[in-house]
Amino acid sequence: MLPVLIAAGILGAVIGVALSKAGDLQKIAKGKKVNISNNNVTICMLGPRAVGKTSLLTSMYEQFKDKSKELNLQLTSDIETREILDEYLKNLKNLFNNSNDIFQCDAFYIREGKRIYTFKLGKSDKVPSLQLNFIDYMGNYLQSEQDFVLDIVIKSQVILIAIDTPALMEKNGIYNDLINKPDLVKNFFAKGQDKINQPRLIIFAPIKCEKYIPERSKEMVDKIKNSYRRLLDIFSSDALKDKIAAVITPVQTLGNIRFAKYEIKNGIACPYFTKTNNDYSPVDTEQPLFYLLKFLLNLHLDYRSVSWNLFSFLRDFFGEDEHLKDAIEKISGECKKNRDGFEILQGHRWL
Amino acid sequence: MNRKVYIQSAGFSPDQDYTWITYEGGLYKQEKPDYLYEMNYIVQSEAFSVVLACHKKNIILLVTGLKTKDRKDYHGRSIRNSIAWVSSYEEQKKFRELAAEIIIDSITEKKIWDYIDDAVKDAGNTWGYEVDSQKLIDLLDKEKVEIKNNIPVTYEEIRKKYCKNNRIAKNNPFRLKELACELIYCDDKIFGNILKRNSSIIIAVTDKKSKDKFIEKNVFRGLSNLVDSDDWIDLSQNKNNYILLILLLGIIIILFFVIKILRS
Repeated sequence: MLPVLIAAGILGAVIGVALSKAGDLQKIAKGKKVNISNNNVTICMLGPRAVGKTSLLTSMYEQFKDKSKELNLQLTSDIETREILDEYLKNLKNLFNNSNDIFQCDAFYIREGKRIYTFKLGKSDKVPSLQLNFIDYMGNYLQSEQDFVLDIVIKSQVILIAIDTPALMEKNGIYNDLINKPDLVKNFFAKGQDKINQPRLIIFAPIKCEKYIPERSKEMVDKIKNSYRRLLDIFSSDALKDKIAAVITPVQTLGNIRFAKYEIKNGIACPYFTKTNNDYSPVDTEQPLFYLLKFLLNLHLDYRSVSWNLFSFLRDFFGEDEHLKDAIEKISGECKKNRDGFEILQGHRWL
Repeated sequence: MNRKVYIQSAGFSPDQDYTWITYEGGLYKQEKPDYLYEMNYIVQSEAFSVVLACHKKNIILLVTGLKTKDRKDYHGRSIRNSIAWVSSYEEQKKFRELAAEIIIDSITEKKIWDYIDDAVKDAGNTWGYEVDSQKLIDLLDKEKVEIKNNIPVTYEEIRKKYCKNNRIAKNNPFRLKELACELIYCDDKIFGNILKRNSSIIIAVTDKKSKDKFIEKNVFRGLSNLVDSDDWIDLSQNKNNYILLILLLGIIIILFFVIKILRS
C-alpha cells in the first residue's frame, strides 16, 4: 500500500503543479485581456526638499477621488497607498488645529528613498482600465541621486514640477534659487533631451500659492516663466518643441492657509503661515490630473500622425473603454485656462 | 567583532536633507548601511519600524522613524532619526536583545528614543547634525532593564509556544511583547537555523506595510497595522494545507485507476 500512496503523492504533486501553472497562465491571459499592464502612465514628481511634492500628491488624489464619483468613475489604489495618503491627509488637516496666529507646517513625508503610488482609474463597478504611477522620492535625490532622477525623467510620460510659490514671490525671489533650484531642475532636461523622442506633458504646479491668487496671478506666471526661462528654452528648442506640452496649474493644497512671513533663524529664511478660516478647503488640486487625462485623450485623437512607443496603448485604449473616454471628454472641458494663474505654455494641440 | 553604527538624520537648512552617515577613525563619512534598500522595502520607513536582518554573515538591526524632541528643519517639520547597528553574526544574541528592548520600549516609556535623541545633535557641518557613535554602540552592551520589567514569562513558556513557521499579525502590544519574548528566549541554535533559512529579513515591525510584502520577502516575524488579524497568521499553514489537498487528489486518482483495472 505504501508504494501506491507514494506514487499517488508524486502524481498528485505533478497534477497540482500543472494546475497552478495553468492558473498563472489564466491570470496572465486575463491581464492581457484587460490590458492593464500596458495602460500605464508614469508621473515623475520633480522638486527639491520641502517644496510640497507629497502634499500635492495627497490633495490631488483626495480631490480627484471626489470628482471621479460625479462622473461614475472610480479611482482606486492598493491598501498601502490608501492608508499612507490618508495619514498624510490627516496631517494636512491637522494644520487647521493650530491655535497660534502664525505657525510653521509640520508634515509627514518621505525620509528614505522613493515610493511609487499607484492609482487605477475606470468605470465604477468595472475593472479599472488605466493605471497611474506617481513616483515620489526624497527631495535631496535631485542632488545625491541624479542618475536615478534622470532615468525617471526620461522614462515618465508626465513630469510634475512642484514650485514653492512664496520662495518665488516674496522678497524679490531671493530665496528662489535655494528652495526651488530651477537650474538643477533644468539640468535633468538638458542632460536627457536627446532621449526624449516621444511626447511629454510637463506640469508646473505652484504650491502654497493661496496668498497670490487671483490678485497676483499674472505676476506669479511671469515669475515662473522668468525663473524657469532656461528650461523653457530647452522645451522650445527644435529638438523638443513638437514633443513637449507644458502648462502652469497653480494648486492651493490647503485653501485657507496663507503664507505670512519669513523669519530668519541661523541665517535661513523660515516660512510662517496663517489661517484665514478653520476649514481644510483645497482649490484646483484636481487640475493637474485633469490636464493629464486631457493630454492622453488628445494624443489618442492625434495618434495617426506619429508612432509613439510610450503611448502605444492609446491606439486602442479609448476604443475599449468608451465610458472613460466620455468622462475624460467632460473633464477636458473643466481644465482651467488663462485665469487664476493657469496658462498653457506650449503644445496647445494636446492641451 | 567589528561593530559599526549608521545614523540617518537631517539638518535645519534646505540643503541638509536626510542623509546616512557613520563615524569611523575619528571622521564622519556619508555612507549607507548594506542591505538598506531591502530592509526599507518591507517597512514604512518614515514611521517607527524595527528590522532585524542578516546579510553577508553580518547581523543588522535597523530602527527607523524615531521622532526627535526639539530638532526641526527650516520648514518647522520634526526631524526623525533612523539608526542601523551592524556586526558579525556571532553577536546575534546581543542584537536580538537590543531589538527586543527597543520593541518593548516603544510600548512603554520610549526611553531608548530619548537616549538616541540625546546622541544626535544639531551641528554646523555638511549634514547639519553630529552623532555620539560610542553612546549608540554602548546600547548593545547595556543591561536590558525594560525587558526584565515587562516580559513576565520564562524560557520554558516561550519554548512551548515557539513556532518555527513564518508568522505575521497586526501590530499591537500583545504581539509586540510576544515577539520580544521570542527574541530574548529563543536559543542560539534555533535562531541560527532561522538565519540560515531566511538569510535575509528575520523580523519586521512597522506601521503601514501590506502583508504581501512580508510574504514576498519571506519574513520570519512580521507585524504591521495593515495585517488584518490580531492573532498570528501562520504563513506555512496555508502552504501545508495546499500540499495535503494535492496529495489527497493524487490518492483519489490512483485509487480510481486501481479500481478500474481490478474490475476489468
